[in-house]
Amino acid sequence: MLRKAVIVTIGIVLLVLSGVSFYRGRHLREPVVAGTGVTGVKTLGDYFAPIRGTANDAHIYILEGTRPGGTFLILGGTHPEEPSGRLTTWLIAENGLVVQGRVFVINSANRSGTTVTRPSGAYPPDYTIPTAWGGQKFRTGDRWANPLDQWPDPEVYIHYPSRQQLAYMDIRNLNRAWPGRPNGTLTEKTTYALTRLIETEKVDVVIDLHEAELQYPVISTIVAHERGLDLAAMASMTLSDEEFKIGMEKSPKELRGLSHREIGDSTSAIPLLFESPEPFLDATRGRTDAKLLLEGKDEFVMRAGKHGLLFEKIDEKGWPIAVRVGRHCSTILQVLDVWSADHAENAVILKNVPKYAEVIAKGVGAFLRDPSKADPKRVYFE
Amino acid sequence: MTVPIPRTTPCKQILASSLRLYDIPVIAAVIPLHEGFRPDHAHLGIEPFDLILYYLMVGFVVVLIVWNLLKSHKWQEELLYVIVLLPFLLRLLRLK
Repeated sequence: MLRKAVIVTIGIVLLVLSGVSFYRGRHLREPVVAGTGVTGVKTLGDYFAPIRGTANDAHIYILEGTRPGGTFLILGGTHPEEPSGRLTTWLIAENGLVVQGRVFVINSANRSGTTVTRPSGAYPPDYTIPTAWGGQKFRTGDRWANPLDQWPDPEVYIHYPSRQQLAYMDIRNLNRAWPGRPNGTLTEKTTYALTRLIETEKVDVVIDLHEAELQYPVISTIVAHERGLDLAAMASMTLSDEEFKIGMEKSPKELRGLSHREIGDSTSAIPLLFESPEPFLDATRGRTDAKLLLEGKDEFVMRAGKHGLLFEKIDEKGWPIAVRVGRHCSTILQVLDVWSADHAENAVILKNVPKYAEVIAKGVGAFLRDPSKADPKRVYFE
Repeated sequence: MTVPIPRTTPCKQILASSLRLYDIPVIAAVIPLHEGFRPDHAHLGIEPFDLILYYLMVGFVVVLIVWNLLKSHKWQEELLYVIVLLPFLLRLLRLK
């Protein structure tokens, strides 16, 4: 009996330790200091009431200029474990200033996915971006929504409305659930709410920020719906000439549920998806810790590169988070420039967002604001 | 854009969901499939039903493991039961 009691006590200790860790990971508060450019904050529930109060009732930061123009929607956190997308949206929401048109920014498109990490993946629960005021902590998240918010998975996920059969866990993948449906799963309701936002606000261009493993062929690129090919091509050429190499891919018509396919097919908006390299996601990676997430250095991924197994280069410098965030910032700004040059009446002019070289020189933390020194009314928690 | 809402009834939804839940694809396949009764529509609007059933199943497994733990006489088995119990308890407590 004493032996049983000892073993059960060990179990309870393990349960408490792991439970506290998981609880903290799920409830870590990530502050966003709405910059002076933020003229309004809504939530997804404002566009589709059933999503209100759920894990995915994400904040929408609205930056509106004094002059009328076009409308852009920037999505971060579709896949939360691809942190450069979320961090880019932080930089825009905290620093951006729109002179003409409107920019809608969502930092946690799949907020539920930010509250969980990959089962058996040994992911760090969070990571810290160093800042002059001590650093800001972010949830690492996962590619899929938290099973605590949407469970169980089917044996085969059948995409709506195409009926294409996809992997079972992708029923919780926000980028396999477009355009969504009002009476579907939480993930489908989320994309439906986003679709409602795009239609209600007459969004011209949707930018979905991602990262990819180096063993995946769609990397360092802009994936564009056929209606956005000119825009993506011009931005890709200019960036490759002036700042860094970035390609362009046409959204495949056969693969359904993705933002760059379904938004373009279902709404009048032009969807673009950006991919920057993230060695943390590579299957051949070594230790999966916050250092790898932020520095992007891994000897095993490098070795894979020497064997010609990668679609993007990697060396001892790795792919630091500042490089990845800088790429997203500059690509957004370039797309805005190209769009505005071609659509004078629907131009969108965004200022105060750092470009590639500036983010690398100063670090991502230099552009994050200290919530303790901000007006509490301007601080929102993701 | 207007996304059409599939035609279905709660009764059909619950039946389809149950078939999927208990992994009976053969029975599901012989039932006439029409709009509103396809397996992929099974989860529509009845997630709470699925969810409650799954939590009941998890609770049932927890009871079985605890029962085996109490009946066991080998320390290796007792340790194993405690380790196996952890993920079930974490799910039941909605922590992971």
